[in-house]
Amino acid sequence: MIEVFLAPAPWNDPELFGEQVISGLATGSIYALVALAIVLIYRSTDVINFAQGEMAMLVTFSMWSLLLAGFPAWTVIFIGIALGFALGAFVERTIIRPVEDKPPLNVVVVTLGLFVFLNSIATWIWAQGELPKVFSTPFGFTSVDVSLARVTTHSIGILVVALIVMAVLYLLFNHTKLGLGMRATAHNPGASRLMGVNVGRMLMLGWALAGAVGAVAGMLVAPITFLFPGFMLAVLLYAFAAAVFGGLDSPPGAIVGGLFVGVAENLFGTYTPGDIFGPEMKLPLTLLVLVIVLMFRPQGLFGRVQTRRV
Amino acid sequence: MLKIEGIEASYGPVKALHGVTIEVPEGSVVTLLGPNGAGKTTILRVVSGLLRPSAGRVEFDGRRIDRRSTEAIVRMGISHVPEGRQLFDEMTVHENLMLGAYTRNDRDGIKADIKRLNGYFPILEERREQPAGSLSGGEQQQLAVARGLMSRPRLLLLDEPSLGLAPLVSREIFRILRQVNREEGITIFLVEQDATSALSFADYGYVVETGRVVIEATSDKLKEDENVRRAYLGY
Repeated sequence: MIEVFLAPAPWNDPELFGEQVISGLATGSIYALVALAIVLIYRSTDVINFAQGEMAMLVTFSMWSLLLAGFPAWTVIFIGIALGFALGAFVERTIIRPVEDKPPLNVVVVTLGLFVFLNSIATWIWAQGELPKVFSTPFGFTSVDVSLARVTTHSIGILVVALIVMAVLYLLFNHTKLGLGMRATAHNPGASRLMGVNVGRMLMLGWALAGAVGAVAGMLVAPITFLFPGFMLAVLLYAFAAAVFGGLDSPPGAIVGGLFVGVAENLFGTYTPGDIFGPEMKLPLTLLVLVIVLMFRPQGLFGRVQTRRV
Repeated sequence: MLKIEGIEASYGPVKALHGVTIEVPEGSVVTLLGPNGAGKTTILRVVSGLLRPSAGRVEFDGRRIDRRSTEAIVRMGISHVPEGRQLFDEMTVHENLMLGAYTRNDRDGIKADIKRLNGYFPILEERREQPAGSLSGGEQQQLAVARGLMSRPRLLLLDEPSLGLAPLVSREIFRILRQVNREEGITIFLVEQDATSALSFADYGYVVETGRVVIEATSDKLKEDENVRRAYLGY
């Protein structure tokens, strides 16, 4: 039975297994970041932002141009995060707010429209030259030994950066007054207004934070996938799956969901029985697991059951 | 302290208020009586800036407030404890209180106020780290009032504080409110279904029907009024 595996079984080659898990955690934490961005926006404005990936893509391309113009890497990283933040705030203020109190489908159409618009802009500006473009990482791609497994420095960098972003968000939401106001707005905007919370500003800030987190994810993905207008598409798909799996209104759920999807995808890709289906089936297999889990927990792992009071 | 002059307001095409005039003097308790859908809640919503009146004006301390944002109105010293309590169910009792103090920046003062309010509502201290949604109805109403007081208002708007509470629990709420009014000098503008409790608590009352004030008088006079007795007191 073991012969049909493409790779030696985990118990025969624990090193390979370890590598797959760690690099799965690394890509998984990118999905987790994008899923977090989606959840941030969904919680505060009830909007599914289909353009989340494309917003990150636009920022990453802008960073590429700045790097090409000779700006130092850390300056560009800082500008990239600020750009993501500003883009998120701008999008909420200009195109989301007018449809906020309209039927939900209107917002869906608006974010889909934004998706197409940003994608076309990027193609128009950056697709003249050669694609995909190489996007470097400050962490490098050196292989290092981590106990059992060999992983790249970029993978470790991704894990560290993701952890920092999550810690910052956690502190912001749970230990600052601003975070208190943002959480209150997500739970009950009407009552928040009565508390003197500037609800509009909180919503804009939610989008801005999501934009910044998305931008970080974009600059972490680009060194692996290279840069082209559609480079965030697959990530967005995985991130959506992760967000729904974890519970669309739960930030911890987004993180767990993202890591799960990353690891599952890697393990399915490595250990598929080759004569039945190849590693190409890793995405459908991963999604199949999610669908089965959602059949039993429709609200996702950590999501709350929607109850309506009459 | 609060002057409402000839306000009109609508929800979409439906007109809810047809020129309402009400005055709430400083330090007093004023109540609004009337059947469901008469526009009582709408009047409170206009005062706290949740709804813009289409005509008329609202003044607080002689300053016009009917064009201001809710945030600004809270900062001026008006706190609105809404109908159905509207707590942040998944957040803790303490976080709910902190949200009540959202417009304030004096850490020590906030701490001192929480301590002081724990004197009025001892149960909130016990439940401090529990989610607000896990409290009983009476406890939730106490939390809603306490949260409303955390902004240090001079005028407290209360919408149906006894709704859904057992008579004994609601009596306790009114006892605390009377204490708050007397000891803290906080003016109270109250909407209440239970006319008996409301009139024994308030100094002055207005009866609102279909968006208009139909009777206004001191509480004692309203208790004697034939129509009020038949319609709202049930004897």
